[in-house]
Amino acid sequence: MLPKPLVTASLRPIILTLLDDQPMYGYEIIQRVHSLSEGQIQWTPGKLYPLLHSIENKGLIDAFWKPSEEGPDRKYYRLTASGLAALAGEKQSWLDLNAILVRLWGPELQLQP
Amino acid sequence: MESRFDLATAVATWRQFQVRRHRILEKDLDELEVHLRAHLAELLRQGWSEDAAFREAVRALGDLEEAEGEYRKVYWGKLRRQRRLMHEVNWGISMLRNYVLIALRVLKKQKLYAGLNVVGLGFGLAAFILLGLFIRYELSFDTFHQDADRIYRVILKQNHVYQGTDLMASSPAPLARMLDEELPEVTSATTLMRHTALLSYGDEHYYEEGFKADKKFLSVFSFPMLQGSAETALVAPLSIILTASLAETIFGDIDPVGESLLLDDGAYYTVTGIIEDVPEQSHFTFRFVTSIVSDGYYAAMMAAYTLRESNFFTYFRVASDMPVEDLQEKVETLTQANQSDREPAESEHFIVQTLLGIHLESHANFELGTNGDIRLIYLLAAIAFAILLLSCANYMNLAIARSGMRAHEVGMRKVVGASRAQIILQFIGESTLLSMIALGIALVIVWSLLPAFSRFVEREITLGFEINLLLPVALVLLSLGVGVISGSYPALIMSSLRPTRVLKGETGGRGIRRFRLRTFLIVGQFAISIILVVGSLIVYQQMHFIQNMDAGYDRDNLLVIPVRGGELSTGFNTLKSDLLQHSSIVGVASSRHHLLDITSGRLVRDWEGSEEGDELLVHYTSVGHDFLDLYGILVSEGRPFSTDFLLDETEAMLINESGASALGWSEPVGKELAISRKTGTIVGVVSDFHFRTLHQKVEPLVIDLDIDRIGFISVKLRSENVRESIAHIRRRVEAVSPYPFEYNFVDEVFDRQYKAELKQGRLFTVFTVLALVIATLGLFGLAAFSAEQRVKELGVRKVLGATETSLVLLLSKEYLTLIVAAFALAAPVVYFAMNRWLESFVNRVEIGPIVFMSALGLVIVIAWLSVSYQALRAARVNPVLALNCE
Repeated sequence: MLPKPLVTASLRPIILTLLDDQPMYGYEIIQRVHSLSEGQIQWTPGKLYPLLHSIENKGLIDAFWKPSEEGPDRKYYRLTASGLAALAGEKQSWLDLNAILVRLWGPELQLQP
Repeated sequence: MESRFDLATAVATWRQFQVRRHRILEKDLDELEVHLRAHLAELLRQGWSEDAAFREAVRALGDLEEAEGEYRKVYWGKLRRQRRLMHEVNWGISMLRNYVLIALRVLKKQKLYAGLNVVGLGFGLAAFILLGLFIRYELSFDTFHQDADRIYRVILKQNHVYQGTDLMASSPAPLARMLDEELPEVTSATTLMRHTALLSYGDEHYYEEGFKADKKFLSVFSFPMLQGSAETALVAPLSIILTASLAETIFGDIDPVGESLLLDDGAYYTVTGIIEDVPEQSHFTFRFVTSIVSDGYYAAMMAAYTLRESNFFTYFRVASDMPVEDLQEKVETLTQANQSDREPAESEHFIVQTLLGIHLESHANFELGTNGDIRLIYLLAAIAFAILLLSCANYMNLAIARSGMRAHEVGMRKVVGASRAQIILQFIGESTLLSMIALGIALVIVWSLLPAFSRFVEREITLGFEINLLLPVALVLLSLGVGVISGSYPALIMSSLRPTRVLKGETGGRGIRRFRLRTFLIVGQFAISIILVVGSLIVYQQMHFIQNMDAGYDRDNLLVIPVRGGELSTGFNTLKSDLLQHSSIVGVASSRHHLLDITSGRLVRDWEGSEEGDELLVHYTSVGHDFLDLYGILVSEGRPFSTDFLLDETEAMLINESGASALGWSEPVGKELAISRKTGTIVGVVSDFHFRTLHQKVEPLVIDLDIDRIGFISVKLRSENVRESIAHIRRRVEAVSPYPFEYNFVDEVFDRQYKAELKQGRLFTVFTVLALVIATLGLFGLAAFSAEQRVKELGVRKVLGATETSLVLLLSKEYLTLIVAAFALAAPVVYFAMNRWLESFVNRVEIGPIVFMSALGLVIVIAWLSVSYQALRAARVNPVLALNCE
C-alpha cells in the first residue's frame, strides 16, 4: 500500500487522466484505480467525492446524470477543456519530480512517459 | 425478535443514520448511497450473503467523519457565512429534536417500566427535597441578623449539675458593659431580661411576652425599625417598642408612637418605636421590648457591679471575625479579673457561644426558646441520603434492565457506523431526560405536600425559590447528576457489546446474577429498607414505653391555671370553696410551681450526717393543702401536711425518696433540714414521681406548705362535661382576676414534652414507608423484566412439566437469598445505631429479636408479593407462544 500522502497527492492527476479516457461515475473510478494499481491504491468514497466536487467547482470536470438499471440515477463525470489543460500541467509536475528523484537515486528509477 | 436481515431496510437505516449524524448535503448523500448500492450489487454478484455484503460495503465507504471534513472544505466556498450560521443552528436543533423524539419513542414502547422508573425516582427526589428543606430551615436560625456570625452570647457554667447540665443560659447584669468597655474587639453588648406583662390600653388588656433590654439591643441585633429611631428608642426609662402586629392589635389605625400603655407594674410606658415582627427562625421571640433601666433589680445589680447573680442574658457583637476560642479566653480573663473579691473556687466561669450555634446546639438551663437538636438534623440528613441513594439505585437498576431490551437496536446502530461515544451519549441523554421529568414530578409532589409537611413539623417551610436562586440550580444539577450516573452504566455495557452477538439476541439477563452491579444495588435497596423499618419499630417501641410509663402521679382530667397578679392568690380560699360546690369538680389545690415545671433548685449544705464541704442540689417547691391527694402522690413514710397541725405552715417539710437516700437518711422523719433560709422538720417521705421529664432519673425534692404564695391552681374534674366545667371555672376566675383566663391540662403538657421525640418517630416512620414504597416499585419493575426475559426459559420448563407454583418459587428463591444477604448487612448496623440512640434515654426499652424478625418478615412479604405477581404472569404464558417467539 502506498503511503497516504502519496495517495492524496496523486488523486488529481489520476482522476483527470481516467476521465480524459472516458466519462465515469464514482464507483467505477474507484474500481478502475484499484485494479490499475493492482491493489496498491484504494480510494475511499469519502476522499474521492469531495475532491470530485472540488475540481468540479473549479471547472476542470463537469457532471451529468444517467439512469442506471440497478437503481437510482448515476452521476457521471467527464473532463472539460480546462481540465485537459490542468491535466497537462499535472503530468509535467510529476515528470519534473521524477527527474529530481532519478538524479538523486540513480538509474533505478525509470518512468515511462 | 426478528433475526432476518432485510437489505432494503438496512440501507434505508444507514441513510437515515447518515442524515442525522453527518452534515453532508442530501445530494452528496445520494451519491454515496449510489456508491453503496453499486458495491453491494458487486458483492452479491460475487456470492456474498446479504448481511455480510452490507457490512463490507459500509466498511468500504470508510470513515465518513473524515469525509464530512473534506466535504466541508468544498462547501466552504459555496455557502455564505450567514447561511452557514443558520445551517449550524438548524442542524443543532434538528439533532436535539431527533434525540428527544427517539427518547420519547422508546418511552412509549416501554411505558410501564419507564413510568415506574420515573415515578420511583420522583418520589425519592421529593422526599430528599422535603427533608432538605426542613434541614435548611433548622440550620438557618438567626441568620437574618447582619453579620450574624459575629454575634455571641455569654452563658454561665456552674459547679454542679442541674437537670442534666451544668450550663445556664443566663449571666450577670454588668457583664455586657464590662465586655463593651474593656474588650476592644467588642463593638456593642446588650443585656436582656424576660418580661411577660399585661399591657393595658383603655379598657383592653393584652397579656404578652417580651423583654427588657438596654439601649444597645438594636445595635447587637438586626430588628428593623419601622418607626422610631434605633439609637434612642430604649434610652429613656419607661420606653416600650412594639412589634408591628402587636401595635396593630392594640392601636389599629392610630399611630402608636407617643402613646402610653399601662403595664402591670403600675407604670405608664411610652411607645417609642415599632419594629418588624420577629422572624420565625429566631431562637428567641418577643412582642415588645421595654427599656431595662426602668427595672429596679437591674439598677441594683448594676450599682453593685458584681458578677455574682446571673439572672440576665448577655449578647455581644464583635468588629471582625474571630475564632471563638480566642474570645473565650478574653472573656475568661476579663471575668476572673472582675471577681477578685471571691475565692477562685467560688468564682463563676462563663462560656462564649456563637449566636448561630444556639438553636441547635445549646441545651443549657433556662434557654430563651425551645431549641432544636442537632442530632435530629443528623438523623434526618442520614435518612434523606438513604432515600436518595435508594431511589438512584432503583432507577439505575431498572434502567439497566430496560436497556437490555434495546440491545438489538443498539447493535443495528453500531453496524451502520455509530461510534461508541454516540451510543453512550444517547443513553445518557435519555436517562437524563427521564430524570428531569422525575424532577418535575418531584417538584409537583413537594409543592402539594408542603403545607401538610409544614404543619407537621410546625415550621413555616417554603420552597424559597425567590430568595435563594441556588436551590433550583442545585436541584437541576442533582437530577442531571442522577441521570448521567444512572445512564452511564447501561450505556457502557451497551456500547461495548459486539454487534453480531447482539443482533442475534445473545445478550439479555438470564436470571439476575448476570450483572453483578445490579445484584449489589438490589441488596443495597433491601438493606436500607430493613434498616429503616427496624429503626422505625424501635423508635415506636420507645415512644410507647415512655408514654405509658408510670410517672408516679395522676395526670388525667387535671386542669392547671397559672396565677397572675395578687387577686387569685388572696382570694384563693374563697374560690376553692366556691368551685368545690360544682358537681363536676372533684378537688382544688394550690402550688407554687406547675408540677411538670419545678425549676427551683437550692443547695443544701448542713444536714444530719453530712461532712464539712458537702453540698447537695435539691429541687424545692411549695404546695397547698390537698395538693398531694389531688395528684395521687403517696406518702410512704410519716404523714402528709394537715390542717390539724398548725405548725405545718411554718415548719413542716416533705422529702422524696431520692432526696432521702441522697442525704443518706434511712429514717428521715423528724430530722431537720435547712433550705433556702428556712429550717424545717421532715414530717413525711413522698414516693418518687417524675416531676421533670422521664428522660432523667428522679432528683431530690423537698416540699413545704405555703398557702400564701400561690403560682398555680390545680383543679381535678370529672371526665364528663369537661367543657362545661371549664366554662364554669372561667366565669368564677374572671370574676376575681383581670388577667385573661388561661389553663392547660396536665396530660397535654406531659405529652408535649415528648412532642419532639414523637415527631422524630413519626417523621422516621413516614419516610420509612416512603422508602419501602420506592424499593417495592423498583423491585416490581425489575421482577417484571427478569420474568419477561425468561419467558422462553419458563416456557421450556413448563413444557417439561413444571407447575406454575414451582416456577414462582424458582423466581422468588433467587430474591430470597439477596434479602438474607441484605439482612446480614443491615442488622448489625441498625443495632449499633439504635443502641446509641437509646442511650440518651434514662428509661429505655431493650432491643429484642422481634423487631428484626418483623422487619425481615415484612421485607420478605413485600418482595415475594411483587416477584410472584410477575412470575405468575410470565409463567401463565402459553408455552407454545413463548417458544414461538424466537
